[in-house]
Amino acid sequence: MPKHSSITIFFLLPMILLSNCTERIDLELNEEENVRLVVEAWLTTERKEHTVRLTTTSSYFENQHPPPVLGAKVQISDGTNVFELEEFRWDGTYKTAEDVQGQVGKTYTLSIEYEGEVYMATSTIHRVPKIDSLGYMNVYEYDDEEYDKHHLTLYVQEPKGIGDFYVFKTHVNNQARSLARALLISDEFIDGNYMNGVELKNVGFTIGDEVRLEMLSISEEAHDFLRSILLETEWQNGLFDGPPANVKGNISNGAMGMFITSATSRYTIKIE
Amino acid sequence: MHRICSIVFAGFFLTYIPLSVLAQKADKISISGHVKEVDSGEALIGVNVWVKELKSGAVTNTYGFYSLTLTADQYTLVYSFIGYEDVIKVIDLQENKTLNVELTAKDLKLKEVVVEAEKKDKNVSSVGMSTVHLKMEAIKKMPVLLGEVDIIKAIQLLPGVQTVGEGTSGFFVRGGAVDQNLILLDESPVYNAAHLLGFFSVFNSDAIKDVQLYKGGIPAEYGGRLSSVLDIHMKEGNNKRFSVKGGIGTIASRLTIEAPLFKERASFMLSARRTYADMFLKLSSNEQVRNTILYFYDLNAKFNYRIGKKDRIFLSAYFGRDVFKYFQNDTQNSEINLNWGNATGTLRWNHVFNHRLFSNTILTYSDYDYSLGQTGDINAFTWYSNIKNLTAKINFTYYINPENTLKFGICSAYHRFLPGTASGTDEGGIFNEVTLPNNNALEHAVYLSHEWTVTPQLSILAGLRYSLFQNIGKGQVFTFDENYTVVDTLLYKKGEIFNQYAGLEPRLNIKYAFNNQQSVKLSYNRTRQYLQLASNTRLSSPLDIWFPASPNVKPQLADQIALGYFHNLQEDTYELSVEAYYKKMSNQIDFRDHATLLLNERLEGELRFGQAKSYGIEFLARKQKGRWTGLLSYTLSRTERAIPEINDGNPYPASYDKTHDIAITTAYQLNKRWAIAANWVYGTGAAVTMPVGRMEYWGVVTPVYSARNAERMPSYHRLDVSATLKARKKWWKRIDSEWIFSVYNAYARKNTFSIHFFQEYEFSKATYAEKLYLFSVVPSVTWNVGF
Repeated sequence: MPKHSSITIFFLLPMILLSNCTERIDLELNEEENVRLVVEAWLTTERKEHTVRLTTTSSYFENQHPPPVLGAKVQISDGTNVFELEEFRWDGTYKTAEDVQGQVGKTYTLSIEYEGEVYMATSTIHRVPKIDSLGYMNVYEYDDEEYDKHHLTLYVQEPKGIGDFYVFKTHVNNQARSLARALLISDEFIDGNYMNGVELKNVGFTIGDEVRLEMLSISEEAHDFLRSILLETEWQNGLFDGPPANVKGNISNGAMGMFITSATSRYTIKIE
Repeated sequence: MHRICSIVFAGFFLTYIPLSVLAQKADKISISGHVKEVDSGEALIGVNVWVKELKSGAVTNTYGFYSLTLTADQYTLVYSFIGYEDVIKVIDLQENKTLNVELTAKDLKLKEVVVEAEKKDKNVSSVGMSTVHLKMEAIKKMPVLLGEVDIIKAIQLLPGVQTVGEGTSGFFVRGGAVDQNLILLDESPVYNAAHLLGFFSVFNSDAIKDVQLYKGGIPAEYGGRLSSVLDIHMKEGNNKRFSVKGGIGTIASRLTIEAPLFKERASFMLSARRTYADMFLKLSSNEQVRNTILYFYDLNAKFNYRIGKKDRIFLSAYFGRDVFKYFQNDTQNSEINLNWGNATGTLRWNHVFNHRLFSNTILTYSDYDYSLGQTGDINAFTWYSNIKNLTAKINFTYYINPENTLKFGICSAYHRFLPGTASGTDEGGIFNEVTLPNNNALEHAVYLSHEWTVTPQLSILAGLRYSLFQNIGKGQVFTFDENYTVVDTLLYKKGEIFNQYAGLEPRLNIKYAFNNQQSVKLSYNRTRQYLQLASNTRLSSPLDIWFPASPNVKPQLADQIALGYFHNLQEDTYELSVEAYYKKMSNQIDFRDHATLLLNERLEGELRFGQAKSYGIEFLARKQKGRWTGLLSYTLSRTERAIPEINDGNPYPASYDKTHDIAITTAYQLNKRWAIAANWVYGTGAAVTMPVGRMEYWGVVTPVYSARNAERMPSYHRLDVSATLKARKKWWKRIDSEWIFSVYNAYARKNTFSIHFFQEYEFSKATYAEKLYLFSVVPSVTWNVGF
């Protein structure tokens, strides 16, 4: 957490010194000839339809939804059971049956067959603590960010033993927010502590919002993958970025993306 | 290994020196002394002491000391220094003699426009190459950002010195990284030369006397960094009269006091600088900006004391700090703060044993630390980190005769690294304490160098340095497997030497002069580096992490060869030089993709090692005399790195690789009151990685890349201009004052610092590219006053 706080401070420093020193530009970019498969797959401990989305890379300024990959054979296995996924949407989304549910401690394998190639990934479901409660606080924000009125406060016991990683996913009025508004946490600095009303600053809410917070356990590999995406996008600050690099996932055979498995803990609150 | 060290050391002295001493004839007599400026009593470095009858001579060293060994006879000695009246002394040399000389500036006006003051034909006649000596007067003439005179910005205009973007205090010498520059302030290493993100350097121009940069042919007395030495000396303090100098600038004010003590036997200099950038922030319409505190300050102090004729003591210190505070809300009970700074201290003792042997014993201390914290709620934490260095060294200069000079010395340093300790500060807070283990290391060196004037045409400076590095407990070392996963942790007791590296560093310079105007020079140097900075960003961040060589990190090594042609025209009015270099560096460090460098106990697991090479041609033309002075520098170069685990092992250009780099600086003295100056810089684009495609994951569009640094940024160019107006009259016949008006980036080019790629909003399919530029046109006014 200090790592991320320090990054925040670092955003502020140049922001204050260099306000308005940006300008949109037109650029001609080279294009890579070989298009790669992108896998977005997530299996949780919730009993529901779990989805896998298959798309491909495209040119950077294409400004279209990513090209979907249709007609692939997709399945997830836990070593004994195999869950087949079926294509159900134009955008490359495949889904499991309604009664599929991951189990903490089990290792799952995703396999994709497409145009004669096989892509594989494995992931284990780690533990997640139960959210005791959620609260919210009216935060004073500077006048240029008027819409940010309330932040959530979290009450949860982080389990003892270092090596837990979490991502917090937010749904506002049943609308999921993207990774850009998610919160990544490693227990490196907070191991075994009680989060006694920690302010979650990643999303702001207004009165009337119904907010569902999901606390998802993820592997270290998945944490690093999501962090890499954020470093490449949301966390760019212009001055202290490391060299750009491709985000590395866990899919074999040169495909990009990540198969993430999580235990879920959720809590819903209405901002009044 | 201690034994090896001392054997090598003894070997140097027992075998080499007696032979040299024996080589002298018995009837030789020495004359030596110090050369000073009459006005301030400051030692003059590089004064030419010419023996008319012999057509040979000597040059004063860093402390203004010179020594000549001659046969008994009558001689005419001419002491000359650019911008000063010659002093001629006729002596009858029958016994060893001390002759101290004071030189008077020819004309204040001329002195002010002198770009560089040293031996007139040094460019051609000295054996050293790839070195540039800058006088503060010249640096002060250059137009600068917000009127803050800056040594580092002046250095960046020289050929072979590159920067990324602008406004940074980091510089890259002949393809070397930022941490490969040894920056010495009165012999004490400075770890972070940047104030305010590098827009200003830590060197207060009023406290600095002169600056020397070595890009190659690095003399054997320097070691510890691969690529360059930036040797900065503070003013000693006027030992003739009390003087005060001050200035009020757009963002900072300065005040310097100098005075003699104890009947001119001693003097001191005290200089302070404070910025007030945050005063302007208060005027902002943005409340967030108004709630920010941001400033830095510097203190420089120096004291020197002459004990008898043979001894002199210098005590100098630097202390500087940047402070940044930001209140998260109006009530000011929740605060984020970040502060960082250097502290250095130097104690030197110059001793003249006899007319031929001069010694300099030095004790230095250097410290860089930073802390970062947040207060006010359960997220409260503090994080502290520092690096300390304590060094002792003794250097000797032995003037055998006018043809032969020996330098030798020994040096020992203790390094202590505290990479970071972070802890929650709030009662009931959420953070545990995390402390990264300390590191300790020792670094020793012995060296010997011999400058030999073989004939008036040919001179050789040959040196050998032997360095030894030791990791010393208490320490913790991880063992990594081939996937950089920790497989074992080894702990070492306090005082236990658990790892060491050592090696020779040969240095060689050869000069052949065709005549007084033309010479060719050749140099070779090997350098070793045992400390490095974990940084993969382009701007220097204050959150520096220095780490030592260790069982997992081999020392960096560089070999450089350079060849140059030097030509002076019209009685040394114009200086021209062309140098070509080739440099090979091994055990170079880069980081894995998306590495975590801050507060990472397993930092060594993030490192990737490989090779680098750099080659190029540098052209420099200077005019240093007359009403207009100027400098033209051009560099054509290429720097490549090859690291097996990065870019699929293919070589890639370094991020600071620029093919063409041009700088022109010029100053013109219009009349007694007005002087104008301008700089123009041009560089082709630095290497950069750009997307070749995109992927989407969880509603975020992320760039996809192919080869690292395969693209180029747009080219960079900028013009800065300034005008200096001296007051018509001195106030009360004593006080001088001047106004300096300057405009940085006069034609307001929005030079690209970096290019970023963004998605319009969450889940959007639209993306765009945005460039970040740091400065548009920046005007400033500075008022200087002094007596």
